[in-house]
Amino acid sequence: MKTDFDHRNVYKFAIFIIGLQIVVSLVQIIVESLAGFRFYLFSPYFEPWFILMSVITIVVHLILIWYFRIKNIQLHY
Amino acid sequence: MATFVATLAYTLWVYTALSDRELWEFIPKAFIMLLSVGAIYSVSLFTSGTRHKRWLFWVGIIGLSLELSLIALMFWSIYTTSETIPLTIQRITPWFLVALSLTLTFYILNFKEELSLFKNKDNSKPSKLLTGISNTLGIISTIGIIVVLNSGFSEYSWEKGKVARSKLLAGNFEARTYVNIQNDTLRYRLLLPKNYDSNKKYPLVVNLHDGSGVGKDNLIHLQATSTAQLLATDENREKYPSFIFMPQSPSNAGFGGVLNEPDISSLVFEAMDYLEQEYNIDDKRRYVIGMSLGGYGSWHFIGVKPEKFAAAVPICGGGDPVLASKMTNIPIWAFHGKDDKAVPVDLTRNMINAIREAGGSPKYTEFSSGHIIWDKVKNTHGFLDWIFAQKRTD
Repeated sequence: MKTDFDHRNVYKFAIFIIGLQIVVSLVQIIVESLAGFRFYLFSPYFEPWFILMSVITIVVHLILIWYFRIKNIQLHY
Repeated sequence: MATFVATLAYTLWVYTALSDRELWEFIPKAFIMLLSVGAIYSVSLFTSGTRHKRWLFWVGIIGLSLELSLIALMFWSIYTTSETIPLTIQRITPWFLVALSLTLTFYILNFKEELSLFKNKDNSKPSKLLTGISNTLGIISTIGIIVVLNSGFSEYSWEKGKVARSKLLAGNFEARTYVNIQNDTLRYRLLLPKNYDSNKKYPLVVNLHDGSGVGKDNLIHLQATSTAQLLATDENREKYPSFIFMPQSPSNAGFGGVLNEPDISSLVFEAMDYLEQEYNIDDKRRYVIGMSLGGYGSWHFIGVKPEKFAAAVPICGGGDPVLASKMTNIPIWAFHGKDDKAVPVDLTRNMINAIREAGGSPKYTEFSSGHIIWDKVKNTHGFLDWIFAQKRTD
């Protein structure tokens, strides 16, 4: 059974990963503004970067899903 | 959960679309769908149980307003007839995306607030697993951010340097304009054969630039037409005296062959005819060479005007196999990189197979590389000798 102690660790991790997602998203917007489609089509770094962004996005979503579940937050009005 | 699935689906779809030019036009619509799912999620944040958590309430309100604004901008960009509005929207969209990214800070504030409410604050023992994941992701992300930012700035410098590079390459290329009876204008550069003698016939080489040369300045296509630069060296002008013709396509039209894109091929053919009235051009030795956007154009040119050309060299382009039967009598040497992400190699393979099935015998060289293959092409043994040896016999 999860305790406050476990949750606290996950909360700290959530703060870190969401912060990381913000930084990575801003970098992505900067690079897209600088290089446009050339970055996607010609840069050898695009694919590893894309995978990294996807992993971070997935982790953030999983954390939020976990959070809404433990708080028992559902779509009810 | 719905946003999670939608984000994953969108991410995978965009990745697929990047290697399939036919899907590019649907990217804005897919983005609208993603924003719509995000908007529904935002509504749920300030209307369901989360509305009692102030930071989640506000992330919902602000997120929704940004998502609706972006949806409106995307629709405006897609359906406007104006040429300038999509460009303006393209410029302001990143700022909305920055704002949308920054709304994530509200989640951080929410977690921080709830963290401060936990009991036993001082007895915290960090989770080794989560610390390990955090450290690993942190290190990888730091390296990734440095590399990717460096790559972005390099591309930016390259883009900004187009004019300067083109001015250096201009040399003896004369800037000219052809205007037809409908007032359609073609801007082009022309380099005459060295020591041009009007009593002698010379080949005409049509050099079609890649996508970085589009515009109306009659300049930046100089840096986007590597084939012409190769032919313009002193050595090659001596060895292969010819007219080097470099039309520039505007940003809203290519040379043809790209799905759903208007083209200026007819205007280029008219300009070629015009040049033949002015100069002594050998009508049995007209060649077309092009790379990327120009590769598409090369395939298109010999598909719609096969009688006009003695040979074609489409480099990392793509064609319409339906036109293959018209190309069977034209010597073709096509090149492509098998790992090309910008123009999939199948587009050339399909053309080669279709022409062979129709009875032609095109040459095809495939490199183990991506889209940037010019250095390999120009170093291919006998490349220029092969082109200038071709002559129509009819």
